[in-house]
Amino acid sequence: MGARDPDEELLARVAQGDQQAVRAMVGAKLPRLLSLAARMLGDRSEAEDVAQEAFIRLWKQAPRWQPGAARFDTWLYRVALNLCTDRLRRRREVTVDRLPEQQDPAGGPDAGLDDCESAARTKAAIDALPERQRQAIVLQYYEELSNIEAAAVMEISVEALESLLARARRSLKAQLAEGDNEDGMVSR
Amino acid sequence: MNAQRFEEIVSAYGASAQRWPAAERAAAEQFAAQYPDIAQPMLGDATEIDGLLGGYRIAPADSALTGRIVASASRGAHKIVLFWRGLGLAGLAAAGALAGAIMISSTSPADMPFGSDEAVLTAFDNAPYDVAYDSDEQDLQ
Repeated sequence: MGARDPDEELLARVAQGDQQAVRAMVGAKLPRLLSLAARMLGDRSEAEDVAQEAFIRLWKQAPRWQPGAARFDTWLYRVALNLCTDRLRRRREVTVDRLPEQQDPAGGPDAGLDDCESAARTKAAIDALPERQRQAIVLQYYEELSNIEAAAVMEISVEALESLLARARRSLKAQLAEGDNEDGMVSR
Repeated sequence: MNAQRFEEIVSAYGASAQRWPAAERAAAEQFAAQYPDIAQPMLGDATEIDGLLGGYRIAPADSALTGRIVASASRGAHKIVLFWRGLGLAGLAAAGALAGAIMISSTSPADMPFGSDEAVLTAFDNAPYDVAYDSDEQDLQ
């Protein structure tokens, strides 16, 4: 383990029940956890549930945290991703029992998240990515993790991460180009 | 850095050098500057995808969610405090009972600082009377 974990001190204060530290921790981590979960799940309400669950685990873990074992951020991202994976799995189990529904790229309860059609199409394209590719693009592009950090969160090699990222980008490009063609046909 | 590696980097991480692997960033930037004919088409493609990705924004957390999460920390801490407080009280009670039992069993009635049996029974009313005094039962009666 190299440099000192920047969250170590704050975490220690959280473990002691310091309310100021609790608020600082929420202020620092909630935006990232929420955006990660929202992009992984494509559903605002579920993303908020995941963020809350991740913080409950954080409060429980804080007194037991072993400095030096892993970066706190890596652990927290992993917790959030696992919570998202659980929900996606449950969702798949439910949808298998029901009639398959085609996702409406522009509609749905999260339409309010995006303020333009292009953003809605990007959201639909990201939602349609295979889960591991979506994790890779969310961690590397949106969460701005370094390649080493993103690979650590996903517990894969940097080479495997690069492969997932490249496939995700190719897939996004193809889907968005397909959308452009459909738009062109409609407008003609 | 060669063209193949440059393409791999741009295909995976996009057109912004800030997102490229730190260990290869300088070399990749140098390659792009040195071979613009090769690099620019690759960067152009990646810039298009970056732009589309950048348009998908998530609304920030509202104060209600933030408040619920901050409150959840207090609830967790409160439970922990109650648990330890409960454990502490139970431990204190057990220690008190033990200390009382030891004191009673190791002290003969003649040495007792109390003026009567009634005072002893009031102070240690949970202590089993017949166990504490069984050797002196006759005297007490």
